[in-house]
Amino acid sequence: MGFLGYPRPDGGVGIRNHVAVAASVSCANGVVEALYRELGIRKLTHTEGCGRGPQDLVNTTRTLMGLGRNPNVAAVLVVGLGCEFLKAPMIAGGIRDSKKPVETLVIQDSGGSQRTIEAALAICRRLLDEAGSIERREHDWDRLTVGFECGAASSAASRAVAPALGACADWLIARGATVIFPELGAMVGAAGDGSFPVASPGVTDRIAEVLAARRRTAQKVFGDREAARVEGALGAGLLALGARSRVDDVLDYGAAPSKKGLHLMDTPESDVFAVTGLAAGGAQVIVQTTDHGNPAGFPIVPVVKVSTRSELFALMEDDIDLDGGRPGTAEEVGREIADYLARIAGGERSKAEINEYEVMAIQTLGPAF
Amino acid sequence: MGFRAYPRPDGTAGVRNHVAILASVSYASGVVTKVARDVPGTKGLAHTEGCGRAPEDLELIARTLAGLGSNPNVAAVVVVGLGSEAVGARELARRIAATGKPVEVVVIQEEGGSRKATEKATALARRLVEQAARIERVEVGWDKLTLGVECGGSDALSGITANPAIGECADWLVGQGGAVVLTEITEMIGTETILGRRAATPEVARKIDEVIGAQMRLASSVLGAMASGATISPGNVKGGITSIQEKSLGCIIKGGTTTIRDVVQFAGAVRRPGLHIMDGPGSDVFSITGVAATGAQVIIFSTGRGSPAGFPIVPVVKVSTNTGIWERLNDDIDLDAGRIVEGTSVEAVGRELVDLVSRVAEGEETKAEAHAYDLLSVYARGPAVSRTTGT
Repeated sequence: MGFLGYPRPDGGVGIRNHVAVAASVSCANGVVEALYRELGIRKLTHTEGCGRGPQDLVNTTRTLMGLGRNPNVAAVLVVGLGCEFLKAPMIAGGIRDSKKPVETLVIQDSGGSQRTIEAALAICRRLLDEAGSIERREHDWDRLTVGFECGAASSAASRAVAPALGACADWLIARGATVIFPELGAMVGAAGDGSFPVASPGVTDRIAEVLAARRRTAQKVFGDREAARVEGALGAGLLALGARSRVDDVLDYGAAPSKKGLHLMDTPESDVFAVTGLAAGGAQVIVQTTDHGNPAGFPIVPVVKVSTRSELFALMEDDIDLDGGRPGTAEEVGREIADYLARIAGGERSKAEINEYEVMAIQTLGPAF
Repeated sequence: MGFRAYPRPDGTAGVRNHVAILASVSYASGVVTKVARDVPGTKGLAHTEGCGRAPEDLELIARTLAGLGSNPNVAAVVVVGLGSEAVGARELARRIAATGKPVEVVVIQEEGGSRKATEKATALARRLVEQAARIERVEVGWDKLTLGVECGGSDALSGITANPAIGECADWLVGQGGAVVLTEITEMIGTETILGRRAATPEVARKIDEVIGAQMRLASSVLGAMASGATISPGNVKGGITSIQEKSLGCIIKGGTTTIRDVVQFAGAVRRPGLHIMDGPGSDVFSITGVAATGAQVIIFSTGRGSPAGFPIVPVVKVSTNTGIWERLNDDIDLDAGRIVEGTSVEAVGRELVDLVSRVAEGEETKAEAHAYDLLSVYARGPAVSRTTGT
């Protein structure tokens, strides 16, 4: 038994069948917004694409290409301005590796914003039509990538619910699915890299590298003492999860896994940026635990909200899908989450999807110029 | 002689009469977007910041958001927060309420979720729009106007057509007692001596030197040997610009020729007349947000490659540097300064610009306003880091 999903030309399987319009640069956001208002396409708008250092430009490129390649997206239109660093045809070229239909429009070559919107409407109507003919088919769990965004060790409540997430991740991995935990620093942090199983010594080295870089950033930003306090408070998330699965690989921000199993992604410990990284990494569904009821979903990926406290679930039932604080063993709650994921994969809408509540932000590491 | 504008309780005057729906944090953006969509007369200020940044970035973000809410073009504000964010909705509301304008707060957690918060914010917004509609334009002096000057997608003509014409307009406004905000510090690299000579005091000259020096060091530290090439975009190069210094000389002329009164930080309030420099990046979308947060009610934006950029609460007047781009992107550009190369004088285009700014100040829609091409990017200088509060 698996799930019913939309087959993609590259072998990926979407649990949604979205047409997405991506801005290659923030200046093109207005065109994307107009298409969203008119046709309800999924909008991939952001604040990046120009005037940043090389590391940030590379990071944004990888993220935008990854979002376009996400199996939940049936077809993509990339809109650029023309004079920016991250050109629409370049982003589109990277998405085209997935063999799905990809179109581009450039505002400066199309006679301005209004003519671009007209041309884009025609393109999107055609892409929506074409996508409409793709039908769901039965697929195995090994076609599913699940992102787990959880402040696993950031509060007592999230520590308490973490083992249920670990059980859910184990259940999925046992069925061949791919799992990604972002916020590598919070997952490993002060626990050190010798305290959980890894697939190879290479993974240990990569974890150490990422941790060292994140630690340098934290020291620069907070100073040594505060950086150590933050690391101590956040770290050890993996231990809190109690996941029996080993860490199979480490991913750059927004990079897609090349293996099955458990992955850690190098993202900031800030959910708005981490969720974008997971979606760009190809996660078709994301589980997010919440201490305070953040209602935000993501444009192309259903985000399943799990409250860490029962009172919060009762208070914000319109925004939260499941109560992770309910009585029950980690296995029981983990299985409940997995069963719910199966329903979401089959087409049931998450609360954030019902509310059409979407936030997208790409991480940046340096200043703008 | 002045212009007709909406009087505000703090003595400022708005050229628009928007009710702003302001997210204190990214998580509240969904509520903001829905309210702005459903209530005519409102402008949504949704963004992706407010949490998970270093302390100085959080202060920069709070200053930006408070500045946007305080802008005279905004009659009233509904601040929407989640309840656990670093930039708190109530604190933000308190800072904006110092202007005396009506400010309401909706906290999603306290309302029991995003739908109830949306309902409450919608009702509040409707009431504030009704109240704002009762405010009428009155005649005010030009000393009530603060003008931001920007450029985006510069080409080789920017520094001899559009920017000098904008400079004429800036000089005119300063002559009338108004204020002008010049920014994009990256595009001042190489001009510190010229700008320093125009400083009102040695202290202002020192500050000019300091912000340009800091921007230069930042560019070198991140970009290394590429600093000179990578601080200008590929579009600038295609447009005929060869170096950042060359771009800078063309950039600063849009501030005009008057004495530089002061240097303010990014999104810092400009409260006195005369020409001001605001610290900040050259990247135009971030820069416009900072200028709007200083309190500028109108922004003039020159473009050589063509940009549709507008801003939710501030009219952005677009000026083309060459006639080709004016003809190709006519839907997005308000005035063509490219005629200057065909023989029209800089002064004549400068006067047309003064006329256009006057009309826009009194309510004429810019192209970007007509299409609601609203871009808002809130700037953070450093990396995204550990959240210090939960979500």
